[in-house]
Amino acid sequence: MLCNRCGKNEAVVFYNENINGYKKSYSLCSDCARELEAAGEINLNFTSPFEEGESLLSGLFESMFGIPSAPALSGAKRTVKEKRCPLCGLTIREISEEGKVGCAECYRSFADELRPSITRIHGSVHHKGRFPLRFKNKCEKGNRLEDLRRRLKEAIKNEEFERAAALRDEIRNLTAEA
Amino acid sequence: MAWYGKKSVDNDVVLSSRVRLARNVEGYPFGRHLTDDRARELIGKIGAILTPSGYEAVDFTGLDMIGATAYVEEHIVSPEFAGEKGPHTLFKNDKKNVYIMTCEEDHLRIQCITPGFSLDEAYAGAIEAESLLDSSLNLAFDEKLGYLTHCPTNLGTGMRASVMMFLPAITKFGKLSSIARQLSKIGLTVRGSYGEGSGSTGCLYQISNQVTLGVSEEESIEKLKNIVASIVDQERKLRDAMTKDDVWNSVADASARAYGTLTYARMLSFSEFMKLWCDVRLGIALDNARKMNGQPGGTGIPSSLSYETLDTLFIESQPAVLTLLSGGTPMSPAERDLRRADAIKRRLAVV
Repeated sequence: MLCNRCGKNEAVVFYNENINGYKKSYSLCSDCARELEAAGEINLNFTSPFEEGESLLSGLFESMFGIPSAPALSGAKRTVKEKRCPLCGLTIREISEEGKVGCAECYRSFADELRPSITRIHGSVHHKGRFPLRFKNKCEKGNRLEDLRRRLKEAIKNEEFERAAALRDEIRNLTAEA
Repeated sequence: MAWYGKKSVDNDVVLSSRVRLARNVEGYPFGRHLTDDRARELIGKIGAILTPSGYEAVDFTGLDMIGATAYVEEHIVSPEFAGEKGPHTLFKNDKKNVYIMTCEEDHLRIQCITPGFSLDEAYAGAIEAESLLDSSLNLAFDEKLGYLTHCPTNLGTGMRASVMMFLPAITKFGKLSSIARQLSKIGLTVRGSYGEGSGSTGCLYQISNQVTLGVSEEESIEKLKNIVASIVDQERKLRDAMTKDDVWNSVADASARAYGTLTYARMLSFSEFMKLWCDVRLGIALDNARKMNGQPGGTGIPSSLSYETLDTLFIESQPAVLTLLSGGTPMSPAERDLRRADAIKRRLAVV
């Protein structure tokens, strides 16, 4: 298809604009596109109608991750220094745009920011199951504590106070070890 | 020979079971944030643990398209892994049931694939390999979030357990979408046979767990096992309903014709092959069911044609595996169709 302005070159830019019912439509070669843009007739800066780089994808992740992408943040953000992950250097905005973190450290650097989205995906933020060898003591103790606390609640509910007292002591001892 | 072509439990419905664990190593960025140099360094570290334990390394950066695609067709690596541009290496054990992808989406994707309905075996195999790596690597982990993964959807156990199922009766009776709906309510999902986003080739589906955080590996597998068992049940019941004389006659006819085409065709495209494959596999299943019910059977298909042979045929008829088995020289689609028909004919002649 040829450019419908100069009629000489192959059209490479297909432009459709509809602002409140005022429609413009062009098929342009790159030269004509550049000229028309310079004249202000067309606007090839995709981001401008939506302000600053909000893509459909980031909108998608925004809803999925509950993290506001660029335009939703305050106008002052450009001047404020954003927090970056010390290992991979990503910001929370970049993470929410990609939908994936940059490294394991991101989960620690942005723990608070990521928690809502993780809860939304899994319905839980409490891991259950295997753990690496080096976490053996910590995790086994954590699991044991969780189990004791659950049993304590049960005992209180059933008004078994003697059992509850014993469980409470056991929890105290276990937490004191740390 | 990999997971296919072996005798296995419930293989009239379940072709294979698989457990995959996503793991990462502390200190190394994920995905595209990992530089090639650091990726190579990481792969070196992993290799130093795996190679002495009998694992063989396949460097995918040095592999041609056909070689890489063949691994995808054998369901050993993901299409993403095969298409990865940076350094990425596959490690496989000598028993040929554990396959470890390095530098895919996560640093490590440890998987164990076993024939038939055998999730416990697959889990044990994956855990064995993971323990080996855990003893010498700092695996990224958080007490609350579990194993830390590139994509938050894999956090927690990082485990995806799945089975590949042959569900022609459920498909024919139009029950698949209702099963899919029910599965999604309980955190399971159905996909086409090549994993995420792929359409299904001929009645083959992959069913897997979705949720990984807050549910332990054992619980996940138990749940999947129960559901798969009930789907196996439902498929068999529906197949039973198809053994009634009028339905049976048309199934037996389709399956005999399919077998005839497989044995006599000079050219076969993969999609045509898959249709025929489904008809033959279903014919054999129904024939067995009728015999069990004491009804007269007989499809004209030799009774020595086993599911294992059929499943091997399915893997070996795919374009890249077929090309590799024929010497590895790239072929045109028409050449491949000739070659495929010839290979199938020869394989069926010795049944």
